Amino acid sequence: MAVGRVVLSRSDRRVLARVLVVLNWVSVVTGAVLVGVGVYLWAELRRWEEVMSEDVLWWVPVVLVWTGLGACVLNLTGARLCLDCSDLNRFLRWRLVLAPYVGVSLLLTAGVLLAAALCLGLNASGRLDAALEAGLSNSMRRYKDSDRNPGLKTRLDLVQIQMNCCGKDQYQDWFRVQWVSDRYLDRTDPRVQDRLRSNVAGVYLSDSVPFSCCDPASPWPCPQTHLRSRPAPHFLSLVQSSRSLGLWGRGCREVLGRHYSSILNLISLTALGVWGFELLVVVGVRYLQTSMESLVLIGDPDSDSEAWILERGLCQSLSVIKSLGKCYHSDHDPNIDRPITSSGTHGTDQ
Amino acid sequence: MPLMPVKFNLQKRVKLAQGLWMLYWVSVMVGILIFSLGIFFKVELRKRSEMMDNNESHLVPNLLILTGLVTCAVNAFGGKVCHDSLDPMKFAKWKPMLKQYFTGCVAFSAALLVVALLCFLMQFSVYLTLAEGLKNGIRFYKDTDTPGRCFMKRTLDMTQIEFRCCGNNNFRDWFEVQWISNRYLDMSNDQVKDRVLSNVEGKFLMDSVPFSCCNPGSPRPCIQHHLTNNSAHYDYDLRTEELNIWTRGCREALFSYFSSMMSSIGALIIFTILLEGADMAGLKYLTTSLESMSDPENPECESEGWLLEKSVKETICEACAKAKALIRPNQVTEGEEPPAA
Repeated sequence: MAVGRVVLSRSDRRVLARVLVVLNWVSVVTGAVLVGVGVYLWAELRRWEEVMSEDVLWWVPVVLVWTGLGACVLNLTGARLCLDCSDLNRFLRWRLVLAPYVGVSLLLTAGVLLAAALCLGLNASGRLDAALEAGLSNSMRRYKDSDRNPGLKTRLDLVQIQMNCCGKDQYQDWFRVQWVSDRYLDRTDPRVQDRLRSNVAGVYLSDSVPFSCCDPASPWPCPQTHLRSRPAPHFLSLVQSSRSLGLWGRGCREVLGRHYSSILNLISLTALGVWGFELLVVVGVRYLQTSMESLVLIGDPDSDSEAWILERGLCQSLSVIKSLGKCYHSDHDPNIDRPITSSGTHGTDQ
Repeated sequence: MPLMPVKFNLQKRVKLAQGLWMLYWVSVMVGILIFSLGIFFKVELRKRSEMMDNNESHLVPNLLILTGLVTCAVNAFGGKVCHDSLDPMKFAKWKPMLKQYFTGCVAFSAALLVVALLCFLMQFSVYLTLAEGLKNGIRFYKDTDTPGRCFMKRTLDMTQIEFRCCGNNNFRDWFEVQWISNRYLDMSNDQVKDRVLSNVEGKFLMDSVPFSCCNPGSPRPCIQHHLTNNSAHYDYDLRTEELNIWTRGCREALFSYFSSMMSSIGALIIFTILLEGADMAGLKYLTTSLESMSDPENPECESEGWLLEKSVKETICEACAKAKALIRPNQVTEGEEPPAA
């Protein structure tokens, strides 16, 4: 019992072929969109790569770009094939190519679905969040070492300025790390010595934040220092504790997490759309292929022909695929080592 | 004696018509580009209008938008004429309009030249507007509670961060104004009172800059306050410290941004003028070769095309005479009857 069986007339086949050519060209465009989206994700990940620790995220843009390129190439071939396939004579030229083509298209469609699933999975599994958590803690700790990590301070400052965030979860995170390099600490100053001695690990902790935490929209000048202690510095009157300090209120982990989540959601939606479209194209090509195959058996190019997705039912097709892999057991075959006595027709089984 | 005559057979005419049609469509694309650049320039001016005291002149972007539209229209018409030129029936429709079309094209090219000149000359006006606007911006930085100026601080901070600049000419401009509002000054503090009283105008001036002047590329935490006092900070010398705050002034930064935009748009307009010239020459050759066909019924016959019917001098004299006739139509020459009143 064939799956999805329809009968196609000659004009139906011609219309199907034309529609498939158009759809294949549109698929080339969607493949290019997938490549573009993959490149965009790669660029965005690279933009703040210093504050992310894990490498698993890099797989996603690679998968997207390769499936997109594969879709482009495959659909270009598909457009050429479908252009020829409505005519019986030209179909015979491409006959042997079509079946593997449908197989490869199915694989590619599965690849696109995998890419969409990767994006969704990354979002949902919390690996993104963990990567940001570890990466940001690391960067904040190494902020002061501008000799050993040149450029890290700049990148972290730019993250805070451009993404409008301060610290990992809140601005107080900066109070817990030494973010001023020892090079610029005057160890002869008694205030500095005091702070260093009051700390168990001997690090210089202060209740101040880098300038990149400052919010330009706040109406008063940014009080970077003495954020916890009272009295406030000599030229700034006491700021009410209930109002914001003129610093960015949100932590960078939340902000970056949301930023990348929305990108990944958009990408997975796009990939799902492309997958649906590709599936449609593959089903159409399969119908065209099977209708032309059955037309070959009939022989008359003008007659109606049957088309299907699977020749036998689903279970039987699966068992056929399974038996393709089985070895050929030579012990039980009665035909081996038998002399050929008559020139009988050995019909090839379909 | 026609100027630069060229012989045409049918094949050459067809090739010329096809090539010219493509060239006209390229010109339409260029017109669309000019239109979009005009819109982009207008949007950029609006975005930075607070830095220019809302005083900036929108003449150039408006002209560019208009120019883009007219370029598209003119070249689309030319392309249509080209498309129809090889069909005598369709071409006959356009023939009477061609003379006016060519005059219009010449006038349009002259207008394009004026727009290109404006693109280069209006940069001076932008420079002066920026200088004035930034000076006022720095003065009104602290007025975050004055209606109409509450966003000046934010705009100036974001401009300094985005364009990597500090102050008008340089960072010392901040030393000359009070950029902290009195609302946030601790007036009970002795040092504050001292400074305010020692100033003639009662302003609280300091040698410090806002945080937006800080350079993230500096290896040390940003030094904003007591910039001229080397001993206030450990291992700090104002003369050798280049990375701490942005050294460029915002007027220079913004001006170089706008001037590069205007210069490249001016260069594009000059390219458009050359393109229009090529279009006109091609169309003139095509139309004259079609008109000078000895046997209109036979499309295969040879014909001659030229740029101008007479030499350049004679054409200019004729044009001057026509212009004079237009300006002074009532002038009576000897032997002529005076026109009826």
